Amino acid sequence: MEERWDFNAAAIVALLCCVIALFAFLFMPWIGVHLTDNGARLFSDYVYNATNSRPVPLIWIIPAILTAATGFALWGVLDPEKGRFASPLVALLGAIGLVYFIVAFVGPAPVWSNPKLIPGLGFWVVLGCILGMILQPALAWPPINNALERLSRSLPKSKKGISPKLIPYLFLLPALALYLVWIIGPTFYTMYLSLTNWDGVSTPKMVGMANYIRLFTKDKLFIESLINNLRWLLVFITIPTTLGLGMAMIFNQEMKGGRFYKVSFYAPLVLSLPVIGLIWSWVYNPRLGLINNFLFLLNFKEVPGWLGDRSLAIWCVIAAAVWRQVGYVMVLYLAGLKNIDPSFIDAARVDGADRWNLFRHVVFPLLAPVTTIIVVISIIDSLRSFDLVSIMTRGGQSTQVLANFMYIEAFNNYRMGYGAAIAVVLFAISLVFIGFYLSRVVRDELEY
Amino acid sequence: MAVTSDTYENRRLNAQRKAGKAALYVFLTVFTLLWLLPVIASFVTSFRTMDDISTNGFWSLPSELVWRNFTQAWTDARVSKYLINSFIITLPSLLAMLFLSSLAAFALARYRFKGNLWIYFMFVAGTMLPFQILLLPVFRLTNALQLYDTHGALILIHTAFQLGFTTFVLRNFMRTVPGDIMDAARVDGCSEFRIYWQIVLPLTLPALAALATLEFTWVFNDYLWAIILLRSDTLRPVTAGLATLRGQYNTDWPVITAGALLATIPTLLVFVFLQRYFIQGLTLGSGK
Repeated sequence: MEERWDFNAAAIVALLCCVIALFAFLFMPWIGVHLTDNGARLFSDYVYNATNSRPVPLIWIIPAILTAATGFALWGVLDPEKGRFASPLVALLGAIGLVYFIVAFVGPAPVWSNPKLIPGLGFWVVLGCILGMILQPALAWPPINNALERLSRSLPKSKKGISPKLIPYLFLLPALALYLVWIIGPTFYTMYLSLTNWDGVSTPKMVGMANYIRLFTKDKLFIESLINNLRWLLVFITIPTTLGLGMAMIFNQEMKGGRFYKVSFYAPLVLSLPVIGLIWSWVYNPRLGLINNFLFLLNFKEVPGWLGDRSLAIWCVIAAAVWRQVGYVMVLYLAGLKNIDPSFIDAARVDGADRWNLFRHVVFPLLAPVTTIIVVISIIDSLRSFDLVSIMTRGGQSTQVLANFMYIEAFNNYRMGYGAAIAVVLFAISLVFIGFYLSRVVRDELEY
Repeated sequence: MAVTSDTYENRRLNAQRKAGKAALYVFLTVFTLLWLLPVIASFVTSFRTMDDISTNGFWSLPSELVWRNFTQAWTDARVSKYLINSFIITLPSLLAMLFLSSLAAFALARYRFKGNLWIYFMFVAGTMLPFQILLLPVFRLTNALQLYDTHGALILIHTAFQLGFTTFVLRNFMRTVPGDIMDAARVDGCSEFRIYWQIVLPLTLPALAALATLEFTWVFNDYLWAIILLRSDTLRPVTAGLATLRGQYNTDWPVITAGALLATIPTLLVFVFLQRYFIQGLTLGSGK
């Protein structure tokens, strides 16, 4: 009987090599004067010709082949039938990597003829993994493969490999680790920072509640931000919600060209907030902008300064935000309307309800869950508002909001501890609504 | 048949209905045009010259239409480079977050184990955090990992932050996959990972497509993280690049609006061609 090449083991080894190499390249000290530069750093500096760019030519080859090889290896692991293509392809890419290493580091003009450049741990790990990538197809060669199989059979291991209890945790592990390190951990770390006087350079020193006391007693800008956030919130839960609901009611019925109108209203959703900020800054421009120019045409002598006017500016910014939000609300209401059982409507019609009563007593109550979600989302969004203020006024003209205030204090004035305290206040306010939303999710789950 | 509907009363009602409909259309058209006026105005502005606007005012017929604002924004103001950066940041984040969150969602939707619900609630709660609570620690962490001022830092934080939302949506979607198929596969000796990859994931494709579209626009349009984690102008994505452009071309509005419009092209294309998925994503995300 003809011996078959079995690529299962080879594909797994290939994937391991690729992932480890990619990780080592990105995060481990790679090469450089002080051995502190990882591949991510070198790569950015090289590609973008940074001023202190290290002399590591064509460094992009390494991440490029590693990414491609990871893709192929994954393909091989997931579909054992394809292993016989994937595994040699990974080896080929590994060979290209090896050629790069040889040309760059031992060839006629080696990179480290510059004596200051010392290879670091990441460098050796990547080199080792690339060798692994080249050699892994050998594992599929029948004699070696059979030997491997015998070896694995002789090992006294549990029958099924991993215990079934562990399986869900294995699936969760990567996402959970990333989430804990980058999201949950930082949330608590900010609370700690808010009790310090950290300036971004020296080690943080505990100052107790001093930041909070100053915030609530002495800082006028903080009060201004709070009030502006409150205005934003009140506008957000009223105007876009009613407008969006009204439009959803109009567009929910069959009408010619309805699609065109609908698209026009939710198109602002895809514009980035900086773009919206720039467009509206132009609209509000005091001398040449859209609005004032129109007022001039109508022979107005005194025109408002819009963003330049301290009492108007915040409303102008909020108006731009509302402009974007309406489409979003409309989409959610349209989806909600689609889910309403038409028999309710028909029953009400039979009972002789007119349009208004139909809406008031049947449709609107049925939309209540959607309305709640929309209100919560609007509140959270209004507390998060940062981009528009940052782009349109940078927080000047009495338009400061908590999010931008925190940014300015922490990153422009280097009062990071103080900034952290503002962030914690913002977080505490959001927490009320996050809690409310979460309680609904919890209730839904427990009903299941 | 037509005779019955041809009574005087019916004709009057019909006419009334038609008039009402026409009025609705007129109202909607005017309102829509007004609604889009800021965009239309920017579009027109980007083809005019600043001299023309400042002498004749905005509401005048353009004395000439020029293309050079776009070329100036594209090359001199480096919008082309910024756009490339945006893609370098967005695409890997998108792949990573969808892959990792689909793994996590599979575990949360399909297995009973200790802490299942708590982990799920944690993901849901995280989606609503204000970014400000994360800024400083993430800034410190990227510095410690030598990732400050690299695209890697942005890719990591976008992936991590959006994991909450994508896991939430995918988990709820995967719950709708009937369990019988999985049990049958298990009886046939299919490994758990292959059940995920070959059975559940293909059935989740509609949700993945919707999420991919939505997350593309979100990550692409991010501004805050880009200004926190990057210092070099050459690395900036287009959102942060536009802010630079604003500073550079302080009063030259035609160039600024041209840059803003160019920056919008990728998300606009996504919206035009994948609109259905975009809308689906929004509604999926609101939690039914």
